[in-house]
Amino acid sequence: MSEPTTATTATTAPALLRLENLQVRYGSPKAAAVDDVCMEVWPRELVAVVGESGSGKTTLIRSTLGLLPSGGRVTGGRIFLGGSDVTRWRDKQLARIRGPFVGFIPQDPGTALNPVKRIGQQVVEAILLNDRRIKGPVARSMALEKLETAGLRDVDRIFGRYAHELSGGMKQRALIAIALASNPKLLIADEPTSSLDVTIQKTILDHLDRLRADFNLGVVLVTHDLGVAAERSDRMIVMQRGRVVETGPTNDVVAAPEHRYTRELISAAPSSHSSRLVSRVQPDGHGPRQSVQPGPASRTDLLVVDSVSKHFRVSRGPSGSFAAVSAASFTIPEGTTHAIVGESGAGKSTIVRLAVGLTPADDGSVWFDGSETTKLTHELRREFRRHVQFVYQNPFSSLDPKFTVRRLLAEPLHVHRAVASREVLRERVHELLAAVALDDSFADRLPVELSGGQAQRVAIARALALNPRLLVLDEAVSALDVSVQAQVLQLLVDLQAQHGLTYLFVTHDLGVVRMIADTVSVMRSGKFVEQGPVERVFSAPQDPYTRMLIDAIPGRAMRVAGPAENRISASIGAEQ
Amino acid sequence: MSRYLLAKVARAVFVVWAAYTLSFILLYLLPVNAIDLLFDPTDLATTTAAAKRQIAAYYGFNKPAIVQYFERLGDAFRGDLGLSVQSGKPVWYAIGSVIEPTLVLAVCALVVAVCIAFGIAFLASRTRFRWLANLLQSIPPATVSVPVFLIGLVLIQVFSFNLGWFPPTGDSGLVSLVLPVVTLAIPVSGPIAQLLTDSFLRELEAPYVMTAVAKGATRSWVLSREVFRNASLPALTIAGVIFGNLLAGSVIVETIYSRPGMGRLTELSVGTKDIPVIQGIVVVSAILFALGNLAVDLIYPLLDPRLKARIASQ
Repeated sequence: MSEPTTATTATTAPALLRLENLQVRYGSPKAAAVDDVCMEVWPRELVAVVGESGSGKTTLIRSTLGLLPSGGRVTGGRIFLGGSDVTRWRDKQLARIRGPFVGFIPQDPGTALNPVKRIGQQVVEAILLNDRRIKGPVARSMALEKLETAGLRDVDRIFGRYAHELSGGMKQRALIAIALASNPKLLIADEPTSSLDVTIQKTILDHLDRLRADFNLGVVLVTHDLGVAAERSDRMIVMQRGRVVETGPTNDVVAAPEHRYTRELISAAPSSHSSRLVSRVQPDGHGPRQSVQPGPASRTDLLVVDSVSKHFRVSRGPSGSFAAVSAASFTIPEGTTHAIVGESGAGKSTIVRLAVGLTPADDGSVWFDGSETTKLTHELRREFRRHVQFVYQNPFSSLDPKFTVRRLLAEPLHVHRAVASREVLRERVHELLAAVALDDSFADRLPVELSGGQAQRVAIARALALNPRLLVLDEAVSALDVSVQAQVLQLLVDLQAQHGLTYLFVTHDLGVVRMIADTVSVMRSGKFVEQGPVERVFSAPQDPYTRMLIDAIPGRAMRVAGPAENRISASIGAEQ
Repeated sequence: MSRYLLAKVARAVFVVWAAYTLSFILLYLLPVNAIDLLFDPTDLATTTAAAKRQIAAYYGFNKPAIVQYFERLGDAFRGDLGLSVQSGKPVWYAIGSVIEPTLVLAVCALVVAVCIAFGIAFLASRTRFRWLANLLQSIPPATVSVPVFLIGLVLIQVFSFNLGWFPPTGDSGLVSLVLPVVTLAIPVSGPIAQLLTDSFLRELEAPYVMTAVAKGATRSWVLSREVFRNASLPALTIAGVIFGNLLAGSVIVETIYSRPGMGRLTELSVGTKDIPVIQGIVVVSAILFALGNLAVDLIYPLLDPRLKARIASQ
């Protein structure tokens, strides 16, 4: 296992956290969820545990706190917290060190706060649970101080609020305040920023960095995001299927990954310096738009959105409405990808619904293939619906769980009466599965029998069933692991080249935009603040908001490729 | 907020009106001859046509149905539910004299049922032993599946005849209340316990529980201070089912234990086909039911700040 980063900390005090050959199992004795894992965390050190879903990273850190879900138990190895072996400790004993010694920042701020208790009370309780001598008013002022330490302003107001009245970033800060309530020496953070917007992620991670320095905290940061790990950690542990495949100082791991899996992860991770994926296939000539010649000059605009606006009423009265989208325009040439990028609440979903006619616009017009979509006859409207298909973020909620893959793919064909006989249908299902690189054996599976990546491929195949011209990809790869995400993005690029498809790609992830889009619109509070070719927007952003978004993309550290640069950053890392 | 209140009150009024109208259709219009029902079947052959006409005129049966309906509705609205055929006294009087013991029985049974339900839910989620949790979780479905009269008979057999602790019948103070209350509470507790147990076990898996444990909370603390309120809220949503069970159960319980009350009155009036009283019972039950649900609707937002916010934004 890795050495302590400096000699001084090693001699003065035991490691904050030490795992020796830890093994954790759930129910069945066959497979261990975590196997033979060793790690150490020292004061002022940030150790990142990186891995994809199912790698056992969450199980690993929960076991260190005795917070395994029911059925999970430690079946081997030892856990030391601050030098004492807590492996066999009972819940009551552990309760005494949870809080004062180790603080925990949970995964999803949206559900991690008690919905019926005021924020302040939850912080006060965290203080009183570990020191019952503190009097009420003192606890209150301490709680206010903790909320301030966690980076919240206007803490008096927030103290009396409920969780549903706060934004995601504020909730995560409140959770940090709870974790810090009893002045812990070790902070364990499980994907603390995965559900937050990049700019908020950046401020939260910056803040954690500051706290680490101010309070000499040791931090364990669990993340699926290699960019975050690369940028923030001193040391990194890469996990795959419950085992540690690589560990070491972060800069070394990023610059010269030894394990194949680490190399895959690094190359798959989208970041600000990712480049446009290139199709691996040639157009097959069977695409519906053979007439379209390559080259931008000859391309016609498939979708033209001309200064559309949408207001939603939030309360009665003349001032009680807010502009979800105001005077937004964009154009997508046929066969290209246009990305709409923005943070949550920016109006991305609304502009998409306006563009495809699911929500009527208050103002402005939308043109598809030269005709205005609001003025289509019933027949042509049906045709328009057939030409525009969707792929959503979560395939498991957009695919009917009781339908087999075959039925899922056949359904749109039936709805649009687009299939003549059973043989034709079987052939079409085969074609569609082949198009998304799945073999025929998948046709009889149910969605639950698919992995996330496979399910998203089925969702894409279903969208392709009717030979659409425009695919709307709404956060279509956001829920996937990076390696799977890279495969699905490549598939999309290949399909585009093959069939001349046009994509409207909605995402919060600027790294992904770089990999797939030709043009991009940056959205904020219902307005487009910047539009243009992806290369130009990324290399020379005009708007300060775009610049802020690009700066917030984690993983800039992964750009270090030159050996000289490596050595410098490696030695900086070692000093901490 | 006022709009929410108004909508809920309107719904309560609608429920009572619908109960009145439905019972009117069922009791007065559907029978082949409503007047015949007013007489004792054995006397029917000897009753003269003139007497029948006189009775029909007295009760207003000679008027068209729609006129009857509105007249009766108007009377009911002013608080006049008509006269009991059996006693000739106002329906209100018949119901008013027995409503108190039934309310006492129902309220006591509800309190006991809620205690049983919370007890089961707490124990099932507190215990470390899986077998005990499974055993506890199997109790609620069992209590619902056993008929109320059987529970009553078993309790009388054991506690009155064998042990002699409680009287088997009558209404003589607190001692005589124990067995009826328990008999009624057991089936009523079933659905509440089932819902609470599921809800407690589900809430224990909620992420905010992990936050609490990670800040140093013990299991009892988590149950009582974090989970309790969140897990109890859904139980309010089955308030309607509970009121229904209480009313239906009281008919059987009061019959078994020969206690005066709405249940006994229902049984008696149905037996003697005392239609005005039956309709009166339906209407009073509907009023109690509507008031209960209204109370739940008004309390819920006070317990759940999220709902309060949603109502405020409407």
